[in-house]
Amino acid sequence: MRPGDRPLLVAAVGLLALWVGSTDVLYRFLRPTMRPWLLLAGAALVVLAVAVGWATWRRPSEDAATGTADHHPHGPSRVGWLLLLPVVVAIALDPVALGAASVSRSGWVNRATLPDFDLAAYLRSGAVGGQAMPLSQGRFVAAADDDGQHSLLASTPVRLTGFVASVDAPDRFVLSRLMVGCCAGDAVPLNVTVHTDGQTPPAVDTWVDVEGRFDVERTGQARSQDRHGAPPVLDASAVRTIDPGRALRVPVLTRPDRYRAMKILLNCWPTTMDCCMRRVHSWTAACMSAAEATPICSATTPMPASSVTP
Amino acid sequence: MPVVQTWATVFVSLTLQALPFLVLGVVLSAAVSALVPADWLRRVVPSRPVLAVPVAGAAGAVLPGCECSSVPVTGRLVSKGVPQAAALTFLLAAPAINPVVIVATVVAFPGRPEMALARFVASFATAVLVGWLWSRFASPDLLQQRLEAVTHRSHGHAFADTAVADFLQAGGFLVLGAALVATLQTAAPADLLDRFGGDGVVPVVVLALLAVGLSVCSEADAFVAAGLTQASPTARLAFLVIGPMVDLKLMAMQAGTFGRRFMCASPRSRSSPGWW
Repeated sequence: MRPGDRPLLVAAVGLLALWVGSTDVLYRFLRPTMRPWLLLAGAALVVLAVAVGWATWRRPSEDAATGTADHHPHGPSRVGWLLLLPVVVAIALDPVALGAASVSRSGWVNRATLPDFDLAAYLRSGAVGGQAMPLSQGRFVAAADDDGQHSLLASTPVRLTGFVASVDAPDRFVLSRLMVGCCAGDAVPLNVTVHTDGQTPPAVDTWVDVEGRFDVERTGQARSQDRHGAPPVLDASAVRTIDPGRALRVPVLTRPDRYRAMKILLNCWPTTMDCCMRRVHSWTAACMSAAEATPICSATTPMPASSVTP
Repeated sequence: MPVVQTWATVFVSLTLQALPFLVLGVVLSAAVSALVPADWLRRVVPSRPVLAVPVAGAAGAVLPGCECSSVPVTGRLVSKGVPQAAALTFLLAAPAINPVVIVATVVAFPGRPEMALARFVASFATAVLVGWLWSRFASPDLLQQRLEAVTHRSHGHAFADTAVADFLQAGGFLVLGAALVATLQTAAPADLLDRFGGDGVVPVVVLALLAVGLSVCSEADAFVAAGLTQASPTARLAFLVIGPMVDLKLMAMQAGTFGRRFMCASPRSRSSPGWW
């Protein structure tokens, strides 16, 4: 690798990070809270590239004379060129957000454990007018795993949003959402089997709003046949195709922001550990309920005061 | 081609996700190389491995990154004369026991802080044990220094040059590892994870192997482990302890930084003590 190539290579990666970090492209790859870190990394790389490029351009002879870098037997080999690969793939292949294809090939479990959340209180708060309350897939799956919540979940209509992962029968499809910890590489699908009551299921990868009730009986049947986590079943009363907005186009339910959690932890360090844990948990619970309304829960999302109550 | 699209998305996202941590790592490694005097390090790090190893492990607790940051930093620590066993312990401990990762584990397992505690203890103990074993049994040339030596006129130039050199070196191998992992994730059989439920040793081994293959970043692996509810807590702990110490992505980076023999020798020594 010639000395002049190195700053160019570093700049290419830096510009890729800046481009992804400053556009909606980010949602295809990363958890939204990674944005500032990606921008920072991109900026640092560009600065480094400029600094080294400037020095190389100004004093090429001195570098050659002092015998740096490329003359050293263990100098960075040609492996650095591999860094062009993600740049080329991101531009040429134009990767889309993960969808049904990634759900069908991954055998992840359809189980979720979510922080303490008072489902009954949440559902009651929207009982006025008898409208179906929006519920995140994670909440629904977690409640469906908890026998104590079954009767409540079966008697109250809820609204789930997700994409169609597969169509199993003329009146049945799998609704899915991906949960992301850091990046698309650790996405975990949360699935719900939807019975449509005769209506033809939408095509695979369509985004839909589904209203309905949890079906205790069918869920039990499905799980007795498949001892490894068959998805919970929802009896749908309405299935509407939606145009996922900018935020919803991301097929992710983001997890509570860890950095925020760490800040809380540091702030209350002088008090007891127990108090810290309680505050972290009530914060994650608040974050989760905020995520019901706006699917992206970032550090900047204002938390509704009502949901912070322990 | 949905498979190619999925591969491309996972590959690019793995690379981008690691980028901030890699940049943090090379900036720190450049700072160690250009700004920290070698004799200061020699004074601070105890010379006897019995002491140096746990001190280095504890130092790992303050690097708030994942495996991608610790590889270049460790490389420069070795070139500054830090004993190999101590540097190795730092390399193994840092990604698993730093505050960001521990808090992520606490958040991922709500109501069960013992999981984070167990992770901290098991990871730290494993790292220290491997460090001691290394200082006792390993031949001194096993950990080759493959990072480029930068000799320079000024601190500023040395810093920028070292950062760029380390970035290209570690980054190239990171990309290689990410491509491997994306391929494995895309090609994995659909029901792979349905087969490991129950107790016993088999699921523990399966989950440990899974941690190696999936190479989930240590900042996110707690969330993945939390989703594996069919596995026993022991198996999930193995996933959390093994992943940050030895996985495909990391092995590619280590091979590039410390030589191929190191990569082949270390997983064997590392893979046993973590399983309680």
